[in-house]
Amino acid sequence: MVVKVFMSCCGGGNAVDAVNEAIKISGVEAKVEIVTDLAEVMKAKIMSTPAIKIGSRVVASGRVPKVQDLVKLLNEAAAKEA
Amino acid sequence: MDIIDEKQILATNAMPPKRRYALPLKLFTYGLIWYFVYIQLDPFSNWFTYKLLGLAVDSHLGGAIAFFIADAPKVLMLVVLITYVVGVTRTFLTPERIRSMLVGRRELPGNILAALLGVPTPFCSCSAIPLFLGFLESGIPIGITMSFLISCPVVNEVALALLYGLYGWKIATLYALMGMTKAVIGGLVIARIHPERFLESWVAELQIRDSENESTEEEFDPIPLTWDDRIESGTTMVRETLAGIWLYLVGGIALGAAIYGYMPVDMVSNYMGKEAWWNVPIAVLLGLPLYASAAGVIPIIQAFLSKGAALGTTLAFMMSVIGISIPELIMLRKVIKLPLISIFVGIVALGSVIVGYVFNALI
Repeated sequence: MVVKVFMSCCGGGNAVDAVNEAIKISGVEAKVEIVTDLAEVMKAKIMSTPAIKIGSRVVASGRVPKVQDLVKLLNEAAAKEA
Repeated sequence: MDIIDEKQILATNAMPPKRRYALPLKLFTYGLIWYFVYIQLDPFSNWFTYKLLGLAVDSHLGGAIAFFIADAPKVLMLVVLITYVVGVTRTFLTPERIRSMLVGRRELPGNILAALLGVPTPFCSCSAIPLFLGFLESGIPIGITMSFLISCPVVNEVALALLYGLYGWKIATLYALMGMTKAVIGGLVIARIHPERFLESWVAELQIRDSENESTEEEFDPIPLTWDDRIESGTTMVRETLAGIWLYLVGGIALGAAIYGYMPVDMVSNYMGKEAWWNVPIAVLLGLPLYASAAGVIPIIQAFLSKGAALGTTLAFMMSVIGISIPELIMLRKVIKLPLISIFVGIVALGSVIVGYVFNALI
C-alpha cells in the first residue's frame, strides 16, 4: 500500500512523522511517498496541505490527524486490500 | 457502508459523557484567567516603570519601557485569543467548503462573499496556490478568486483583533470595511481585463485534462473531525502562529518602543502626517517590499500613531506591508504570468492609497 503525504512550504514535517508512527504501530506494510509537486496535489483534489492519502483515499486535508485515527485508517485500508 | 460506520464510531467515541462538561468548563476557566491578566496589564506596566524603576513619567526611557511592557503582552494575549478562536473556526471553514459556497455565484455577490470569507481564513503565502487552482478548477471566475486573495491577508483576524484591542471597534470596523471594499473592487477590475490570458499554460492544461477524465479511482473523503480535534486545532494554531510571529512581534514592539520613546514628533508628523498629499503614496511604496505579518507591524504602527502620524497614512502603510509579500508573489508566478501579477500588486497598492486618503479625510 502507498501512503502519500502532500506538503508545501508551510511545514508538514509533522504529518510525515505521524504517518510513520502510525505505520509502525499498525504493522501494516506501507510505503510513504512525499509529494510536493503542485500538479500532483491538484490531481488529488487537495486544496490545503499537509494532506494525507492512504491507498486511493484522501483521509485528511489541511491538518494532521491523530496517530490513533491514522492507525485505524491504515488497518481498514489494509483489510480492504486483502 | 464502511465509511458511514466509521464516521459514526469516530463521532460517538469522541466524547465520553464524563468529559462533555469538562471541556466547556476548562475553556471557560482559561477565558476567565485570560481576562483578568489582560485587564491588569496597563496598571502593572505603569507600576513597574514609574514606581519600581522610578523613571519620570515624561521621560523618553520611561515612555519606551512602559510601552514595551504593556504592549508586548497585550498584543501577544490578543493574538493568542484570536488565533485560538480562528483555529477552531477554520475546521468548519475548510477550503472545500468555501469553494462550494462560491461555485456558481454571480459576479458581484460572489466577490462580496469571497471578500467576507477571506477574513476568518488563515493564510500563508504558499497556501494561496493550491487554493487558487482549486477555485479555478471548479469554475470560479478569476475575478472572484482574486477578491479572496486580496482580502485574505489584509483583512485577517489578527489585524482586526489588534486594531480592536488597541484602537477600538470603530477603527477596526472601518478597516475591515475598507479592506473588503478594496478586495471586491479589485476582483471586479481584474475580471474586466480577461485574466484567463495570463494563466500559465500548464494550469490551463491541468484544467482540460481534469475535465476530460473524471478520475473514478481517487476518492477525496477526509475523516470527520470530532470536537476534540477542533479544539486541538485551535491549540496547534496558537502554537504555530506564535512560533512564526514571536520574533516579528518582539522586534516590532522593540522598534515600536524605540520610535515611541525617541523619535521626534516633528519627524513623524512630517513624513507620516496628512498635510502633504504625497505622504500616503510614499508610505505605500515604502511598505510594498517590506513584509511582516499583522502582528509584527501593528506595534510599529501604534508607535507612529502616538507620535502624531495620521491614521490614514499609517493604515495605508500597514495594508501595503501585509497585503503583498514577495514569497507569495513568487509562488503565484508559478501559475499566473507577470502582467497579471503586476496588476494584482498595482491594485493592492492603489487600494491602500485610497484607503489612506479616505481615513485621513474622515478622521
